[in-house]
Amino acid sequence: MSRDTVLTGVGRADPQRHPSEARLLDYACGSLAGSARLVVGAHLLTCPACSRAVGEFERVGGDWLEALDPALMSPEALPLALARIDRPSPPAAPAAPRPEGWLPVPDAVARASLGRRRRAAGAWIVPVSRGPGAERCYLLGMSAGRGAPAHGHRAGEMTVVLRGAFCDGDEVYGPGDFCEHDGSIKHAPRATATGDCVCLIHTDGPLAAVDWVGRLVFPLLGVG
Amino acid sequence: MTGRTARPKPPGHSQMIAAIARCGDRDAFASLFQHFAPRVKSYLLRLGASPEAAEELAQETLLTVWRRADRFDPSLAAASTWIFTIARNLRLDLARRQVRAAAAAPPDEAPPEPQPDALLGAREDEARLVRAISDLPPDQAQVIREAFYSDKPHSEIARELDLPLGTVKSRVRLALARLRLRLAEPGDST
Repeated sequence: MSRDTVLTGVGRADPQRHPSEARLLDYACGSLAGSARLVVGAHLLTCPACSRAVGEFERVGGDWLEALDPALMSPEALPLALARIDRPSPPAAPAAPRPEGWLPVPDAVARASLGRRRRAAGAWIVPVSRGPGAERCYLLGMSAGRGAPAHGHRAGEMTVVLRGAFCDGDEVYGPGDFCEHDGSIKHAPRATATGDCVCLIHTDGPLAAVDWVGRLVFPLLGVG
Repeated sequence: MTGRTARPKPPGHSQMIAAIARCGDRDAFASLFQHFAPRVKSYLLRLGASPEAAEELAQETLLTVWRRADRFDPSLAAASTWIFTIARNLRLDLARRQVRAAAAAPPDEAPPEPQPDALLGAREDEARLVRAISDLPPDQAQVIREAFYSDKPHSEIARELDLPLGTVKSRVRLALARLRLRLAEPGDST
């Protein structure tokens, strides 16, 4: 076993519960955008090991910035900047309160959580953002022991657990855990019996119901 | 700290940010602006921004440095790292606003092509970035370079290099382990 192999995944005891290092690199250099960035960002708020990895990649970004050939600025750039720092800064928008019992979440998610919940069959959904294209981001709540109807995906999905835990087959995902699937998976995630579960989910496309329950429920929830 | 010299990083940028936080030091701001604004503009040009947009975002970036100087923690990140993340986030915010504007209005123009200025000297910058990640084996350095240099997600890099996704992922994983080794070297824990 090489030294590299031994070093892999330091501090990330179970890589299945974290974004891949490649995703963290996408996050650090800014190529991960939109709601996928929001979901990975929510995981980073609760995961020191992944935050550290992002910090290491960002340091490469800082080194790169430092080494770039300086571009020519317009002659009035500095006087303009000095005039701008004298102006009062715009007041920051007040942060939305974190929903009780949840892990810390990005402000956009806390704000979205105040929206109207669509309810169906022991689950609720609040949209967080739409687009570009077929991209969707939403909060999914599942009552203890209940779950989403079985479904497949036409595209990728990323999930982070904000409260409670859910099981998916033999796997159990707890608070802060992250999971990512490509479009090929069919599954029926379900909150564990111990309590309600809330997840933040990004999908690149609509869900595909595999049975009549899903075909009935997904349009009600607005994710079909 | 051992007697080893720290890696070549211009001294004093962290102290300048601290001086802004402490007493609104305008000279410190001017020095930081003259050093970083042209580099931030260069970074944005490289990723395809128009010269006007790149200049404006460079302004915004340094303005944010002024406003948030008290949140900078030199024990967590170098000044260049912090400023890189500010520029990156402002670029993402702008892209998000553009997506929203495009959704509200019918599309009428193509996204900006990379400026010729940005493409000139590309090779040189590439060589420098290689130096920044110089202790990585070439195949790992290539993936990291592509990520920063062309702002592409790893899935796209895999497609372009005609590599299986798993290979790109494992190269990034190995690269991170190597970078970590470098950071753990004594005398380099700034």
